[in-house]
Amino acid sequence: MPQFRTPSAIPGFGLTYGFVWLYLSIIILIPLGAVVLWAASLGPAKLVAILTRPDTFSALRLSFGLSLLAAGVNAVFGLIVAWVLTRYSFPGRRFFDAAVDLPFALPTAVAGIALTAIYAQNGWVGSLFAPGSLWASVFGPLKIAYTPLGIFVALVFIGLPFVVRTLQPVLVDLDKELEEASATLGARRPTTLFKVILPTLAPALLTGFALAFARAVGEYGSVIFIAGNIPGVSEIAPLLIITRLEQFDYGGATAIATAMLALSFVILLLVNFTEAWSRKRLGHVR
Amino acid sequence: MSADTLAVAPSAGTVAPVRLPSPVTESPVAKAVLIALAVGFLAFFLLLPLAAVFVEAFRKGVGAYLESFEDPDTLSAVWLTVVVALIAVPLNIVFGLAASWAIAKFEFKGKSFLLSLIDLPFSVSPVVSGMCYVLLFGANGVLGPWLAKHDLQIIFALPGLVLATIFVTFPFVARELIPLMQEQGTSEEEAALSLGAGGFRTFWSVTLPNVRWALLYGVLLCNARAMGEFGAVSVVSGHLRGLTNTIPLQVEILYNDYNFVAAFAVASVLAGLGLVTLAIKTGLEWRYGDQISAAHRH
Amino acid sequence: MELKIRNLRKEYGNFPALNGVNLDIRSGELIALLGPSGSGKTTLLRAIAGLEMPDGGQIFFGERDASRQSVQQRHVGFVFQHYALFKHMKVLDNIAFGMRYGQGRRKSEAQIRQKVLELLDLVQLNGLEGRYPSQLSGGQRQRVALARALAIEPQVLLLDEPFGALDAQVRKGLRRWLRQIHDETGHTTVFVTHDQEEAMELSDRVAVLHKGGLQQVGTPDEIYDNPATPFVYAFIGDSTSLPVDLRNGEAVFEGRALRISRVDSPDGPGRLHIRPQDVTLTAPSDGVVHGKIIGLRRSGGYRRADISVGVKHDRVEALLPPEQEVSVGDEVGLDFRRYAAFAEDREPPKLGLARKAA
Repeated sequence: MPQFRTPSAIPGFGLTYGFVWLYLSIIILIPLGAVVLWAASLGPAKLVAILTRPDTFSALRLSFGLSLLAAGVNAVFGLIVAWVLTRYSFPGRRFFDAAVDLPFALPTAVAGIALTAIYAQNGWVGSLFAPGSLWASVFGPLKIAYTPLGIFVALVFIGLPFVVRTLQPVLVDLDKELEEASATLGARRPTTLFKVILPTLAPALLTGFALAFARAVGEYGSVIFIAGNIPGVSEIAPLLIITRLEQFDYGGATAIATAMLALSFVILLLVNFTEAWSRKRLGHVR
Repeated sequence: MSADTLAVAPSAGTVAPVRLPSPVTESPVAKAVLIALAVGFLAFFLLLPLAAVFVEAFRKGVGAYLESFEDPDTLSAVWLTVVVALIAVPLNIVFGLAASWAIAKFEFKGKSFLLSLIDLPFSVSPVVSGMCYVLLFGANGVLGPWLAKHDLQIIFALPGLVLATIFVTFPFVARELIPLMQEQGTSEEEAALSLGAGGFRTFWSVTLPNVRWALLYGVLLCNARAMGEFGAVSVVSGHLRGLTNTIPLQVEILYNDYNFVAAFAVASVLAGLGLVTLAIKTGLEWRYGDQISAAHRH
Repeated sequence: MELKIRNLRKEYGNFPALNGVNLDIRSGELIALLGPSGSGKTTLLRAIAGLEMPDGGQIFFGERDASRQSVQQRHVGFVFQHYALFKHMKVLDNIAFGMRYGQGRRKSEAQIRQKVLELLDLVQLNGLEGRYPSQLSGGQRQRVALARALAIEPQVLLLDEPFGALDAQVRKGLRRWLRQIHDETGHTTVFVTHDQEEAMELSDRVAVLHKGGLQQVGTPDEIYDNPATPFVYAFIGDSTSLPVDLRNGEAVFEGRALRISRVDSPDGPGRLHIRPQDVTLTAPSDGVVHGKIIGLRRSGGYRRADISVGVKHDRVEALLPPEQEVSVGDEVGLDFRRYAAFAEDREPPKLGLARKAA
């Protein structure tokens, strides 16, 4: 019969292992159990009924749509930022490298009010697009804060480090010989970038995209101030959960949370699947 | 690119080298454009908001800035935040050490399940984390009636704040320690044990010194997040002024009261905490990068 | 394609990687660049390919000055030490890469496929065109890398430590096979190695490098039998040396002329280099020097004798047939069948000069 644990001379397994499970039970397992209990008590019919309510549905659509969009923008610019930070040397490189962590370092509420101040109609950026600006006289005024566009900006802000920090170690380890091989075979630099380097980075880029996306879907603090929270227009799913809880509608809150968890789970599963597939295919060849 | 089409006049008899660009980098123009794009993007999306915090905080001068901290509600928010962090962070340190000891020093079934459980808070929305406790302990929650009968309050009180904070911050210490301790293996501990040291002595004199920088790194990140957490805490706090508001929640209240200078002044303290954390963290990475471990994702 | 390298220089910071190298590589020959790590052999190979930009000097492909061409234009087949196969591409696409994206004349997909299959046949990997590199063994990857380099019909084939990452058994097989491919295709081939056995066995000529300078170029026989510099003596095969004074073409050891001739180094202090198999033992009264056996070890089909010579107890090693009756403590005379004397010079000469004019 296979053993649960490989015997070891080192003491303390029982104590630490037991403590870890006790801690995890109190902090996450029992509370998550409560969610499962509530979700189960709703039943499928009621769950669908809640989720297809126009306000719920549009909030979920908004959260997921904007998160995908923001993660996409982050994938592109995160790739450029990671590439520049690992490949080129220029004055201030280390400073900008450290700055990538700002969205992790700044509490979300702080980022939220700062972004709102910048993108409001009288803010540094917002005023450039407000009525009376040069932009407005050519294209018409553009409102950023208190619209889905503002939410998008906040989601880009919080998602960027996920892509950059996922790509950087891969870029550092990237075998220079691959690029040289491509060059000796006659390929010009752009061909090398798109046919050799980009496909090699693809799995890491996908992981970074997924992490940024997952973070964006659940993000609350940095979005809530800039969103404006107009029901059906700029109300995000996490805010709707809070609203339901404040109305003591625990069932409604649970339904939205379940939908968010399930959709994120499906997307992460897809990404993990693709990643595992490509890893298996690419193997660890030098 | 231009490398291939370099027009070079034949120079009679000289052996002056022709400087061809390196085959494994971009042309100077492409390089400059990419650097400009990256720096521009970072400055616009990341540095601008940071600058805005301090500019807005000092918009009405240093006097107004300092005045913001005389508000008793703000002071009690600062106090509450410190108390929550003082409870949550040490508990998470103990958890992190226990988890990394069990996971890194032993082989057992279900290890990867345990690891993904520890990662869970990173993939759950903070709002959903807070919601769990409301569903369990709230007035209409599973244990709500029982708690009410015994006059115990968890939600809208300190215990709820602490629980929600622990939920979102407990992985930080463990996540820094586990990969490092796995890398270090068990031979040093086995040597200490064979020399007659007890289990706790071995941990204290052998294991802990080996992971001290990673531990500090994890504690820093854990503390910064604990003091700055907004979403999860917001759900369980109830926003009772002077009673259950932490600093980020106080920022929200001041902001919604249109008291912008005070909101940004209080926010600047959190931003300052974040910047100090970031600076120490960056310093640790430069100085002790090899002793912190390879994995630096958050 | 004939290659001429003229006064090639390259420095990394203050460290000279190439020290004014002149080398002619004949059309169709298989030449090894041999040297210890840091000798500049890889830098030279990469400079030929255009992957490394020299600080001075020229490289001619035939009559054309290739130092003015980018790596893409040079059209060299380069096989990397770790193969550098594109992991996300199948074997077919790896080999087709240069034909699809290179600077040569465009081919149709059918022509490309045809060529890939021919090359796979040449490197004996028929049927593996649909595999990914991760599904191949080390030796197979090596062959794919070679096929990929050959696919662009290169002017010259360059291989960087081609067998360095393979285990000993596979290496021997591939060595013979590479020689065969070379003879079939007739490409001018340059390969880098630090393994003297590999260089000697595989190549038409060997170029020995040390500290960024060329020490000697010659056939394996020339290199082994007539080393041009003390470094080549020490690096290729075994050798021991004695401190001598060089006077008028005569080597003088501890005041006694050694009655051996053909010493053409300048007068002054010098060293006499001898290979162990070139030492024969005679009666103590005969021989050019006499010494005492202080150690005997069995080494393969031979016995190695450690012999102490002269008042300073200099050591000379001799390789003896096992049936020769000697024992530790014997007084013996030593004759040298082959030897070379070089002026005392801590740094070996910059260029391969010395005995035979290089």
